[in-house]
Amino acid sequence: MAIMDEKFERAVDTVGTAVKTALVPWGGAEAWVDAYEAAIRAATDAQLNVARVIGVEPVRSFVASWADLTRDVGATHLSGARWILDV
Amino acid sequence: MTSGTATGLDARTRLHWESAGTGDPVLLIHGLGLSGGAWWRTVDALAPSMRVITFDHRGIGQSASLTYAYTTEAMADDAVSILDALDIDRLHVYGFSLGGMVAQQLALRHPERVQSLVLGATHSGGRRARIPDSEVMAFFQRRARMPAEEAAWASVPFNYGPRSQAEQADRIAEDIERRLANPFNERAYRAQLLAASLHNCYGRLERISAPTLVVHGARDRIIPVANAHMSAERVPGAQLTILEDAGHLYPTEDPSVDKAIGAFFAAHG
Repeated sequence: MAIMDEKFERAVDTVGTAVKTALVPWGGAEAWVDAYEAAIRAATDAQLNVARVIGVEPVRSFVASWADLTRDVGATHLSGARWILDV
Repeated sequence: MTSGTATGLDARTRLHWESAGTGDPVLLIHGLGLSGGAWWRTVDALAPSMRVITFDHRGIGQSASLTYAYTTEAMADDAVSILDALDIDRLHVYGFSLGGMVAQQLALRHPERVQSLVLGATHSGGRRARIPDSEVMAFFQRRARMPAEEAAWASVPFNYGPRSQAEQADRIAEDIERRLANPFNERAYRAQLLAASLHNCYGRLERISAPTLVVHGARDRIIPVANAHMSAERVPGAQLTILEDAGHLYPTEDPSVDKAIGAFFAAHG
């Protein structure tokens, strides 16, 4: 990509390749990223279910907002991991 | 036309939606900084045969929330909140530009809700996405600080193809008039820019199971057309329509495309 200088791109490639290689015996990088995504979704859904059960404000709003934060922080991790690993 | 509000569990998120027409439902997801009203041309074209649903993303138009949407995942989940509020299990989805990124997330995170998918003038993100030239990138950063009307006119060379700029001044002026009817929210715009930057579905496009049509203007400067070819190659069975003379805002430049998209939805009803 034009926004990356070549050195940076090579460094990212090197890191990505090393991580992918290291994860091969444990199912591969894509499987790990997918598992992390599933964990984030499970955690988010669990918090949303708690928020649905709790009828008391502001506790419900706090739990629901925390669920959003969990999803978005997780999504940022996933985006970065997929970018580096190119999966 | 009917309208309403979907309220989030956090009690602060309120998502404004509008619905026009009757028939198979379709959800239209708009692009960066625009309200659902930006779909007016497409609503007019599809509503005679479909139920057409538009909405405003968080922080845009009549929608509000505690935080803005900083990821396309969040924006896809907001879209599902609208479907839940309208009691719609499954429908056609048409996302444009940033909305196309949200539509990809919707098809991947909630595949059971998507009957068919149209990805308009968008990209899949990730390292392989083709980014716009440096002049366009600089404009995006500058635009947030510009007065709304100046920004709308300054964006014309980026949003429309050369033919449209020369021959369709009246249609461009109509677009801008509509756009200026909604106040511009700089913080929401920046949050959406971040969401677009973080978007990364490239590796998962091959998991999209809904019938998919990719539409793109060949003269698009904001999201280069190479991205459409890439997406169409990766989504299983995807169809690709390239509009040779059109730029980024092809619904304005090539009105016939909305009919073709309507026919695609009808074929997958």
